[in-house]
Parts: sequence; structure tokens; C-alpha cells
Amino acid sequence: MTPPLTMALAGNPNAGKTTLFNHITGARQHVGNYPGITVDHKEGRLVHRSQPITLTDLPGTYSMTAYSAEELVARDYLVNERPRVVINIVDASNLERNLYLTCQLLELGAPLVIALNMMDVAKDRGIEIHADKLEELLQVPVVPIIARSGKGTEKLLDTALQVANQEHKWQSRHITYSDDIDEAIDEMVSLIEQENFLTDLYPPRYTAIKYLESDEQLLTKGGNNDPASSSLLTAIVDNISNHTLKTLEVYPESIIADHRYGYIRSIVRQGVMSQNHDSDRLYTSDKIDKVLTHRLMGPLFMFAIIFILYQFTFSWSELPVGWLENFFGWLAEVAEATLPDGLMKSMVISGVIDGVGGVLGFVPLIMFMFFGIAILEDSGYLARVAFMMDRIFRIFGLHGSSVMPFIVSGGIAGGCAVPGVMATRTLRSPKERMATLLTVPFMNCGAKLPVLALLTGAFFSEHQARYMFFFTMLAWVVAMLAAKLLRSTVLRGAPTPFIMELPPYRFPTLRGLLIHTWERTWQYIKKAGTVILAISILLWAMMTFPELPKEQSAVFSSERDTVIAAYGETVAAEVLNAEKDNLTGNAEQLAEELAEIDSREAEASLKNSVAGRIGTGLVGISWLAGFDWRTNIALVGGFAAKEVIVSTLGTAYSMGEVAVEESESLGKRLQSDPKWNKVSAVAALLFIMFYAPCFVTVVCIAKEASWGWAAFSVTFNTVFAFGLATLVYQIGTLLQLG
Amino acid sequence: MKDMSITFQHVTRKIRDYFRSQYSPQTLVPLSRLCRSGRFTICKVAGDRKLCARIGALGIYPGAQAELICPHNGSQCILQLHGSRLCLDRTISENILVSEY
Repeated sequence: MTPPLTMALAGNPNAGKTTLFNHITGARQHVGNYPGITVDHKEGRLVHRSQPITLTDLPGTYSMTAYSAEELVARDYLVNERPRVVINIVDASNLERNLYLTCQLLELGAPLVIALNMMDVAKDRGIEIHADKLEELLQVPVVPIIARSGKGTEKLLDTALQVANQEHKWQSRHITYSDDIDEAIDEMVSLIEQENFLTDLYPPRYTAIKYLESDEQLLTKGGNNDPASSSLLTAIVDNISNHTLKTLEVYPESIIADHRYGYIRSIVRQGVMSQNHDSDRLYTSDKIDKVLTHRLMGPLFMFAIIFILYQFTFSWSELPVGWLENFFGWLAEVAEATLPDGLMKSMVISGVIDGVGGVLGFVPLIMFMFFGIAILEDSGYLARVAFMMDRIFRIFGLHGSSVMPFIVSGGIAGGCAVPGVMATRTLRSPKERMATLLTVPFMNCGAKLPVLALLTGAFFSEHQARYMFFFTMLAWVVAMLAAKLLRSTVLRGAPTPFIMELPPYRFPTLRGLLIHTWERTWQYIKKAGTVILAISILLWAMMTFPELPKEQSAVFSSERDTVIAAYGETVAAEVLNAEKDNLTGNAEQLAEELAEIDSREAEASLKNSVAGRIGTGLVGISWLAGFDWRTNIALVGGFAAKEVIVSTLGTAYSMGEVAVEESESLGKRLQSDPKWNKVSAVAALLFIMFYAPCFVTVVCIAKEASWGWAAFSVTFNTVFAFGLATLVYQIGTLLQLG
Repeated sequence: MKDMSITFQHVTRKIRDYFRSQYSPQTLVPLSRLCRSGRFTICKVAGDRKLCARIGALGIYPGAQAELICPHNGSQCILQLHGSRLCLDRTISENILVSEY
């Protein structure tokens, strides 16, 4: 079999790279409309003209200098993996900015094919690009495409294959950077060639330019590899830097950037681009920004949009949520009626149906929420939220870019802390990054949503959307205050400047929205179907074993016998054979007494089980916040995954209250429990929102920072959440608010 | 009282800057002090070398021409530069000296 050809996809953020990647490979990956969503590079496989291809989607970058983690990842991949061809996706409606990266790829000497994307957008803006002219001037194949519709992608792959099959030596493109700098570069290149300095990795001219640009990674690599040559190069750089500072008051990197843009301009103005109307005009996008990012109106619009998202999610999803609840209720009834009594029946109803049903019942709600978020992301509005939030984030020692991890984690409830923690890589300042990393788990992730929806639905059903909105805002406030606390104590330091590109507003495509919604919802379902099912069964086992000792069971049996003997055989037979509603006076009384004994036995069994013992053990402390042993078991299970809290509560209640109909919703069961009221519900909600992140998030924090910080996160969050829950429960109980 | 005095100084400075820019368009001013939309040329970028390099890669370097779309509304502003929109905070825009057209 032919070995796969390696290709890489490089480009600016928002150039349509991920859209093209999805289109070519069929791999379904999320496409956001704000910078930095793709932190790691992604791989996809395809076969084109019988040739297997491995395509890597590199993170979106503006340059190839190591200014950010994305740039490092992209450059390291290109240098170390040496793909046979690099497809550089260029936004035709924003040509000059996008060709800056192209210049650097050419200087790196990568075998290049330019995919000129968004030709339709450019045309709408009155911009006409002559791809053939661009190809002639850059001496690189240029293929016009529209990634959203897939137009031109076949030709792009044909061209990429053609380039990949040619023998190509990685050779740096020569761009002039003024006489003084060119002279310095020549001097450096001859030294590099003479000493074979990093020549196995980079073309000599590229190394020289990066030294002049003071590229930290390359300077460190060079210093470690050959300190003597590195210091000779540094001396040349210092010399020219002093000269440029004296004469032009700028560092060489500014002159280099100026000349690169000059080179681009010279190409663009040689008939590559013609504009049918004034190039300086403000586009519709800018006009919208004048309103949506306005100092006063902007935040008002932002809050209104988030609130509408909530109303849309909770009002519209009500009906399908009800259908699913009914379906699982019916399924439990069927299982109850058909399966023989015993451990298997108990496991199917309490472990599988209650566990998975409790989680899957929320799928419509999560689907609606993700659909709303996808609209905000794909339209470009989320980037504006980051822009507006920088003002506020700065107050709390964070960065405007921190808003992305916060939103991804559930700032607009429904995200996940795992990608949120990963998204903190886009932050340059280590302290702001760490503060973001440690506080994003406070957000209401998609897994906390079912618990929030359950408790607000059960105790505040009349204003559920309003309460959900309140709890989301509360998550923000607590996260911000915690960030401020961290930035003033363990993570003290000066703030990092904020700069980002705002993508133009775009109409999201229905296909894109549906793909994003489905991807996220499917991830949730998959998780529910595998991890949650396994955890539900494990928890069922923990709640069932060890079984009640025979002596204790015998006590309950003898109690039953005594009661039956007191009423007589006839009444006992009536209880066994007649319908519950048709019992006569004595029989009804006997049935009630027997049910009471069953309930006590079930409770004793659960308390005796492993989970019961853990839950009961914790009651010694947890009573302060109003949590009984059932809640404790659910909270312990929640460390595995927050969704488990709902399924565990479901299992605990259906096992503990045998008289309760299986189809009755968990919310109603909680309402009917005397230990639950509005105050204990709020205390439990607060604890669930802020206590230790799930173990997957903890592992991610450990990977991104260290195990020490991960342990800090678990301890700090749990202690803080418990303190808050206790405070609310004690004050609420004192004031009799329940 | 101190806060009010700072706000007052800020307002008077804005008014002064506005009239100054009306009558002497070639005066170099930090980008953070431009209080109306319009075109300008970047004349000097001061501050930390790493930051200069990073914003240089994004097209902010001496000689580049840009347009201020949204002036500072507290801490950030939006520029149109090389066909794209960039938003910057005050820490950066204070270090960019510009001359209006």
C-alpha cells in the first residue's frame, strides 16, 4: 500500500482553516469564529486520486515567530515533521494581513500551495483577486476556493498532490529588508553556513532573520546547541540593533515587519487586487460594531443576548425534555412489570434506566443551549464579548482573552471545563493564565446544567429561567472574585497587554450550526452512554453491596410476621392478591405497616452498603450545609463526573423509597422529601457549582500546570464551596426561608 | 473627591486634545488620546521590545497607516489596519504615537 503523504494546513485565525479541514477530511471538528480555538494541531486522513493523505490542521497564527504557544506548535510541527506540502489558507477578503504569514512560510522554505479562501466574501466587498497574477508574483501555486461550500477543494488537492510529488529542498525566500539589515543577514548567513549552525532544522537565512527578530525559542535553541556561534550572531544583532535604534528609533523586528508588509503591498499592487469601491469604507460589520461594542449600549446588548439565549434554551426545550422523562418513566414501568424480582431487576431499573435516563433526559436542553452558543461563536459575536469583557477582566487581574476559556467552560452555561482549561493556552502571561486555569471550573459546565435544571425545576419551577440566569451570573461573580484573590496573593504580578483581531460578523450557515450542535450533544450522549453508564452501575453496586447481614434481615422478617399474625391470614392474603386501591380498611392498614417496614429495611440496606457508609461517615460534617447521606453519596459520585449527581440521586431515591412510583420524576421525589426545601436546594446548588472539578478537569489542570496546582484546585474549591453552602443553609434556616 | 478630580482632568484633557487635533493635525499624540474616528499614521512605537515585535507582526509599526473605528471607550479601541480590525487596550495604545491626517 502507498504510504500516506503528509500535508499541513496553516493560516491566520478565522481564515476558514478548520472549515476547509472538515470539508476535506470529513472529520468533524468544532469551528469557532474567534481567534485561537484550535490550540493543538489536529490530524485527518483522506484518499485523493488513490493517494492516502494525512492532513494536519495547525493552530491559527499570524506569524512564525514564537510569540504565542500556537506559533510555537505550528512552527515546531513544520520544522520537525517536514510535511510534503503546506496548504496555506489565505482569506481573500483580508489579503494583506494573511500574506504576512505566507511571507514567513516562504522564508522558512516550506513547499507551499496557497488556498485563496472566501472569494465570495471578497467579491461582495467589491474586491477582485487575480489568482494567476498572485501565483506568478509569489511563484507559488494559488487555488481560489470557497471552504464553506467546498468549491475549488478538488483542484486544491490536485495541486497539493502535484507539489508533494515534486522533490523540494527547504530553501528560504529572499525578501529585502533595507541595506543595513541585509548586510547583517549576509554576514550572519555566512557564519551559520560555515559553522553548520542549526542547519539541520532551519534554512540559514531563516535563522539569521529570527535572530534579528529576537525569537526567544530560536535564541535558546541556538545557545544550547552552539554557544560560541550563538554569541557571535547575537553580537551582530546587537550591533545592528544599536544602529537602527540610533538612526530610526526602532528595533530591527519593526523594520523587518515593515518590509514584509511592503513586499506584500508591492505584490498586491501589481494587479493582484482591484477594488471596485473605496477601500477605506466601513463595512456593515464595522457599523454593527459601532452599536454592539458601544461603551454603554454594548454591555446592555451583551446581557440581553445572553438572557435571550437562556429563554430560548429553557422555554423551547421544555416539551422534548418532558417527552424523554415520560419515555424513561415508561421504560422503568415496563422493566418493573416484566423482569423477575432480584438483583438484575434492581440493577436495570436503579442502575441503568434511572442512571442513564436521568442524564439523557437533559439532551434536548443541552442541544438547544449548544445551538445558541454556536450562533454566537459562528457569527463572530463571542470575540466582541472578549473585547468588551477586557475592561472588567482587567479589574480582577485577568485578561480579555480569559473570557474564551470562561465561556468554553460554561460562562454561557453549557460548556465544559476540560476544553476550557485547554483553551487557557492562548494566554501569554503565565500568571493570568494560571488564575484563569484555576477559576474556569467555577463556571456552570454542561454537566452541572442537569443538576441545576433539576433543582431549580423542583424548587423554583415558576421562574426557572430567571434562577438559571442568576446562578450563571453568580458563577461569574464568584470566579472573578476568586481570580482577584489569587492574583493578589499566590499569583501576584503586572497585567499583560490585550491585543486581538476581531473577525467580521458573518451569517452562520445552518449546516455549520447543526454540525457544531450535534458534535457537542453527541459528545455528551457518548459520555452518558459509556462513562456514566459504567459509573451508574458501579454506584448501584456500591449502594447494594454488602447486603444487609442475615441477622438484621431476620429482624425485619420477624417484624413482618408479627404484624401479619396480628391481622390474620385473610387480611394478609387480601394485601397480597388485591389491587392496592381496592383494599378494605384492615388490609390497607396492614399494607401501610408492611411498606413502612420495607422502607426501613431498604434504608438500613443502603446505609449498610459501601456508599451508605461513606455518605453516613460524611454526615458528621455535611449536616452543617444541610446535606444528608443520600446527597453525600451523589456529591462523592459527582467527582467522577458532575452528571453523575443526577443519576446517583435518582438511584438513591428509587432504592430508598420503595413506595414511590418509578415513573415519578426525580424532581418530584426531592420535593416530597422532608429533608429538601428551598434553602437546602440553594445550599446544594452552590456546593455543586463550586466544589472540586471533575477528575477529568483535575487531570487537565495537572497537565497544563502541575499536580500541586491540581491538588490546590480540588482543596481550595471544596473548602470554599462548603463554606458558602454552610453559610447559606445556616442563615436560610435561621430566617426560615425554606 | 480624588476620583472626581481625576475624571475632571480626564475630560478637560479630552476636550483640549480634541481642539488641538483640530488646529494642529501634525502633532504626535498617543493613540490612546485620539478621541474621534479617522485615519492616522503610526509614527513611533515605544515600550517593551517583545510587545513591539508582536504588534509589529500584526501590522503596527512606524509608517503604517490605519483608521480608528471605535475610539477608546474606557480602555480599548478598535483599528482598521491592513484590511482587518484589531482591538487594543490602553497599555498598548499609550505607547503608539500617531499623527492624524
